[in-house]
Amino acid sequence: MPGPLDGVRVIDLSEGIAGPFATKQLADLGADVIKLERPGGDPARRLGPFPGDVPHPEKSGLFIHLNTNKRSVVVDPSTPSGREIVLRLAAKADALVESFPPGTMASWRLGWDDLAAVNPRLVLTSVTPFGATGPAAQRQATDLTIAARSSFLIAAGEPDREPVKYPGRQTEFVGGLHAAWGTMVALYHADVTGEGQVVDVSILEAAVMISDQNMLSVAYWNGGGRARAGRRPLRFPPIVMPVIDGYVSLLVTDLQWPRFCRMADLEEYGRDPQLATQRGRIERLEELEVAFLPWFLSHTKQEVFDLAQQHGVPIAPFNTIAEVLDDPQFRARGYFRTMVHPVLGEITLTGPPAILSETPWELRRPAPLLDQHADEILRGELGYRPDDLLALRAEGVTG
Amino acid sequence: MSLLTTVPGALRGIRVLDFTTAWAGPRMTAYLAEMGAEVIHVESIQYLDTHRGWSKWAWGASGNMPNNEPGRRPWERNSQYNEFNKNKLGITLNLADPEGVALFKELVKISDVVVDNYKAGTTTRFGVDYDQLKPIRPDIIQVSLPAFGSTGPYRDYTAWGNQVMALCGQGLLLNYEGEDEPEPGGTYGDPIAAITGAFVVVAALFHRRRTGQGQYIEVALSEVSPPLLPEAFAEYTMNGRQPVPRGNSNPEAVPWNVYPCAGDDAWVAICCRTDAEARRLFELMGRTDFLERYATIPARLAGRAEIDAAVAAWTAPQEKHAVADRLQAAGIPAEAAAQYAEVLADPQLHARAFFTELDHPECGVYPHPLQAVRLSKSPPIDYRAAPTYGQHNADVLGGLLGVTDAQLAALAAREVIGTEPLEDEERRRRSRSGIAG
Repeated sequence: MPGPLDGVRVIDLSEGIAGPFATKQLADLGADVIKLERPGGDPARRLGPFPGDVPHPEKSGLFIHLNTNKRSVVVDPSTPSGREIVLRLAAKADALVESFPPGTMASWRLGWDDLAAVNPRLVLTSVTPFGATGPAAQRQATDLTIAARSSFLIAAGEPDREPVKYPGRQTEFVGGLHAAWGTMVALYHADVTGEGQVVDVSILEAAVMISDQNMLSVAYWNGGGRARAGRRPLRFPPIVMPVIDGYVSLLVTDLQWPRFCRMADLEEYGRDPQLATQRGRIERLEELEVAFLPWFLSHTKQEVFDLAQQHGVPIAPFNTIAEVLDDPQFRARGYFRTMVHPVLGEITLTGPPAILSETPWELRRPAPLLDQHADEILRGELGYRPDDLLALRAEGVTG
Repeated sequence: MSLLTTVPGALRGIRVLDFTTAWAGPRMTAYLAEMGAEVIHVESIQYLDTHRGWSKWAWGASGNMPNNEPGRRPWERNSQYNEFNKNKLGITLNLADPEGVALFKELVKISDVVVDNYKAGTTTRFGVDYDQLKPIRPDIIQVSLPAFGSTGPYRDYTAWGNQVMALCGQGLLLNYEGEDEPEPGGTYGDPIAAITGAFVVVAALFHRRRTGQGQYIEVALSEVSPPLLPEAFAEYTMNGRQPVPRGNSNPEAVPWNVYPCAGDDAWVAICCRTDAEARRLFELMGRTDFLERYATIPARLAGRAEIDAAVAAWTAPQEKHAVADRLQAAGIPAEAAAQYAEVLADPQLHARAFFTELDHPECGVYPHPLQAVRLSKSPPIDYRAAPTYGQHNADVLGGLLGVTDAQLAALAAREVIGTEPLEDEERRRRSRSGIAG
């Protein structure tokens, strides 16, 4: 079955994580994404993990995840001939996504005016750490520094130690999701009105959006104190409990408290009116910890999970990656997918973030090898002749 | 049927029936509302949106009220509810009552999208699942956001975002290097489901424009998060190793960490991506002895403890923004770790008008963020504070469906609609649904 974006063409000049993750969203829903890589390839090809820890431009575990369903052509957009290729592709495309520092595309005469001149319906999405405007637009950034400035960082860790970041490079992925969203909305607008436009995406703002509820809490009442509660916040039940084989995660409300007590075979605590609210339980915190800990320490995380869910209490295990891959729910839903990559062989990829009944998310092709589709795109679709291509290659414009 | 709201925006003309609660669902439809869709948030007086309060008067635990004061109607004063439901119309309907369901279905007939994030099976029980709605509106797009999906052994399981993150493998990786007991993070799965769902529903609307075809979409909280951590999954599937928590460090670059600054809970993040950036940092620190010794990445990786200690000693007496600006002037990525209140005052965000002010009748004027994307021709817009309980009952049920004033009064008498939640005991007795996230 075709995806909902079947027939949509996206020219992807973006590099790294945020832009490619955005175009992956579009590609996995059916868009034809042509990835233009500068000579040497997308820098994400140099990011691990790699099999056996040996770097190889076609074996990056990160790159193969970020670039599913795309085709690759090497083009240097900073050269006149490369610019010409970009413009010829943009003329027939619905969207162009890029992630260069603000002003870079314009310096190559590939800014909005240049692109709109060949295709006024085009959606031009720019994904940058701080957005295209403002006093910080040219600052340098990494996931960690954006996490810091967005307050994403301050949310976790022990109150008396340094805050600790979410794993991986999540601000960039969050930026990518927002770029996909903005691009999609603009594609919809173009379909309705025939009007193209510029979509300016700030990864910093995307990270702030993910914590908007914290901003609003503080705006309404800045109660002071540390943003992060750490492992021992003043509450019962706590949010992490040790069990035989690891830890479980909890978030039990007052309404669920009696059920929690029943689950732990301590029903009498659930009937005590003084313990019905968090405030009352905090006053007897030590007593409750002593009473409930033995039950947890005599169960495995899977046992606690199943028992809690039978009682309608939201508790879940802290799983290893191996346990996630083997989890019965993910297995039952066929979530993780395998496909064959021409260099890596069989690879495992995360599955659909959404199930669409009529136009499914689909892995049609693995991440492209560098310049894999030069011939079919430059010759087959743009009509360059073999000797043109040789000349371009000799100039270093293409791969 | 004409719209009640005419706001500019790319999604102008799209009507969304928003049967959601808490975070993921309301935040998803807020994205749509900010792009011009007319979003009708359907609540009930029998069951509070958890972000209005755990119970009618249990406002204290949330700590999200203006000046931490409940006022006369605390359920109108929760900052998080008011953020996730801005720009929406608000109505009440008791879907446990046949008249409530009938009115809901009348609204479905004139809507483009229906969204829910209740536990799997809840819409079926209320008679408003996709199989029941499709016959009355064949091109409807219905979106559900259950915690673990509507199929599989966990379909009835209940969870908040942080349980989902633990189950999905992220929980064990959010930690200091070398430590075992996990650090709890925020309820992070919800906003990821929200932005994912908003994106996918517009893709489905795009498809519907071309084909006339509606569809059912399921966005499980457990399935939106793993794609954001491919490094961890690849590490295991390629190398058979459980990834270990790295704290704030980078296994491929040094210095790369969070360092202390002058003041309470003051920190700065510094990342040297290249040898040249590390050299410039060492020069700024006056550590000429490091220049040769730590010229290469292998040398810096081996000397990480000494380097981190030296950087920390250098940053400790300095003001965090001053350090970040000095390093940025030298082309090195560095930012102060912002507290939430500092984000509200961030000059970059203000220069881009990221926050707008909304005036809420029960709260007053507060700033709200205006999305991370700026569309040059059809920008997002914050234009209306969140609705008070049942604020638009007459506008929507009367204005769109033609329900008369007398009928509205009868519906109110039967507690199908209302403008205040029922007393807690009453509500608990009548409540029939469960939360997904």
